[in-house]
Amino acid sequence: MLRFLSAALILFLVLPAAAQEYVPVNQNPDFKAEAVRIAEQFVVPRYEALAARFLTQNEAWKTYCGKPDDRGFEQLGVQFREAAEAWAAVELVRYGPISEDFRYERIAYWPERKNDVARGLARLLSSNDALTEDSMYDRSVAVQGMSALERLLYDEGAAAALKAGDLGAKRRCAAGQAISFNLTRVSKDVLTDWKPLIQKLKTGDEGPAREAVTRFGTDLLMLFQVVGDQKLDVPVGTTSGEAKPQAAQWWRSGLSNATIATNLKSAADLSYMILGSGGPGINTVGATETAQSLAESLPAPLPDMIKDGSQRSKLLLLRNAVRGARDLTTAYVPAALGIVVGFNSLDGD
Amino acid sequence: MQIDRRSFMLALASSFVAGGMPAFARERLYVSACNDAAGVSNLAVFTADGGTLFKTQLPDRGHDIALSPASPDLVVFARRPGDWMAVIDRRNGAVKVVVRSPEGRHFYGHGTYSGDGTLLYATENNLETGQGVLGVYDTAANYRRIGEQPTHGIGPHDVAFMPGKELLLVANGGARTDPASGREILNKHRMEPSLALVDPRSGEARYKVDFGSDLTGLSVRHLAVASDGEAAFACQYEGDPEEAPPLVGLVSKDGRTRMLGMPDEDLYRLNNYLGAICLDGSERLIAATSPRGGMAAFWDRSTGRYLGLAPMPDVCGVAAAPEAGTFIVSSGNAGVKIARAETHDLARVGGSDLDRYMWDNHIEIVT
Repeated sequence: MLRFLSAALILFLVLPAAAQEYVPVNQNPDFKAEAVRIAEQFVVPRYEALAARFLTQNEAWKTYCGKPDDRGFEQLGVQFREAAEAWAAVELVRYGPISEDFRYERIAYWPERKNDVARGLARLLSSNDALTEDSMYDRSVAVQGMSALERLLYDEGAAAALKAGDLGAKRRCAAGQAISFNLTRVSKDVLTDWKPLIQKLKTGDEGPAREAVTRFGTDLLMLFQVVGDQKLDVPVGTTSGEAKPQAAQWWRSGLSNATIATNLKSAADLSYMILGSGGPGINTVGATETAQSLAESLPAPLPDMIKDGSQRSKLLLLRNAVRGARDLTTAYVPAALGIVVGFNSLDGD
Repeated sequence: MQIDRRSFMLALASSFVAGGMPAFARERLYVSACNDAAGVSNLAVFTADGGTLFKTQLPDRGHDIALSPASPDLVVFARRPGDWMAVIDRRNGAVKVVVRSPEGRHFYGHGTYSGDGTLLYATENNLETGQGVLGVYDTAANYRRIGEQPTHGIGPHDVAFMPGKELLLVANGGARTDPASGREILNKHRMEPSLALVDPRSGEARYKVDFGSDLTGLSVRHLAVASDGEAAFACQYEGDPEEAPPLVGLVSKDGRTRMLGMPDEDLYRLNNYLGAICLDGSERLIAATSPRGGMAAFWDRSTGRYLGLAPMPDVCGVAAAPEAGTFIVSSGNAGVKIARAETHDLARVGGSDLDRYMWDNHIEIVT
């Protein structure tokens, strides 16, 4: 899977003069201005939206746990969806405070390896210790965020267990409340820590700003890799026999398609911010939006389509569209930023 | 890529930047391949504070470097699957000779000199069979290739002498590739990674450690041999991306292996991929770098204790810094830094223009 991206980047790296003449490279990048612009106009507003959604979600859990009823339960699902969408809109950012103290993994533990979320949640629900909001942060990272909440809401039998009105339901409710609170805490911490980082980017020397711009560019390319390789290639497989529908992100809640579309929209937004309108490489944004549109118009949830021979072609089309967008982004965005990405990470040795 | 030796030599001559050894005489010198902003590939000898002794232009990206124990020669190997290696004077960057791989062979990016410096061994691919070989070169005869020995595996990458300089440890990555299909792994589901201890005179394997059917995707690529005969090795995992096997291990001088642990959360951050491994000056500590994870990871070799991660985007090159417990680390887009293993923090290299270069996978110590 990686080899496709590798091949593209390696070509870019070793044949700059001959093959890339048509790609204008920014020879005099203003790293400080660009880093601050992306941080202030792309990153921070999305974390603000995420923090607001997590707060509303936590309120929904408090309301439901105080007075469990169908309307309150419905709200849990509504708010989960909104929170997942808000996360998908900023999921590509791996640089900055989100990379500290496993905050990224605390918000969404995916891909789930070694069944960590299931095992951790089972342990959490079967224990008798006090399940307070403040104590969540010290538990396994795997059970602290959206991945655990999704299981609490959408695992087989989870809704009935949450509505059962017994001690088990109370424990599940306390878990949901504590996890949703933890998400507000983590998102708030991320926002708080962006302020001094932006200040540092504004007032410090060029080194950190150049690193920030490089990381933003790398994160953008990584998004295509994650969507193409992990969110599509792994669950879709090379044949329907190799398909793994349950490897799709958010398959339990049915949000796989919508969050992939939001991921791609965020990539298009960032590409547009970097490339502008009308300049070289503007097709990059259009190609990403095409992929986004294909994800939005999938006729059924991605996990259902994976095993359906007649539907797989639409997923392969989406996969190709993501690759096409990735190739254009790889060609134009690093050049526009005046950076090099993947010199070693895509090297393969 | 194909290179023309004559034009290469001319290019090297024109790009040579003299700095003069005396100014750097008391400082540790490092060597690494790198690209500049214009995309030109170089070999650079530099100090940790950013002084550059020389840069020598290369026709394409280099990979690792071997240093002669008996002469000023160093050899930079072309990045896999390259067909050249360049012998360069470590004092001034002058090119002594460029050696092409013979028909039917290509270099894998690594090699090492014999203890007396008379021979150079390079890991190579037999394109016809896919089997790894050690090309043997006579340094006194202008690095003429005088033979080859088997590596007892597919896809050899790093190679290092064991203490005593009689036996070579070879990391057979297990992945079969062919330049005709780029760097694509042709046997992804049937990889055969192994560590082989080879007698380069007879070609005989003293031991071969296979990784077994459960770990066929665990491609062992890089080595760091301690003076007590134990070697640390670093792997890349080509299997199911959702799996995350340990990536660093130790092999004793008699071939017993054990993998070094680390918390799952940290292991996942390595993204199933390590690009280099190194021991510090005391040989007690291990640093391994993951360019895909943007992390350097540290262990205590004496206890096996995991020490932590240090984040650095596109990090790969790593070598021991003068102070025990510290390493110099380099990146494709974040310059060069000093890493302290115990506290796993990074410090920028002061007053340096090293940030201007994209540093290739490996750093070696010159003096």
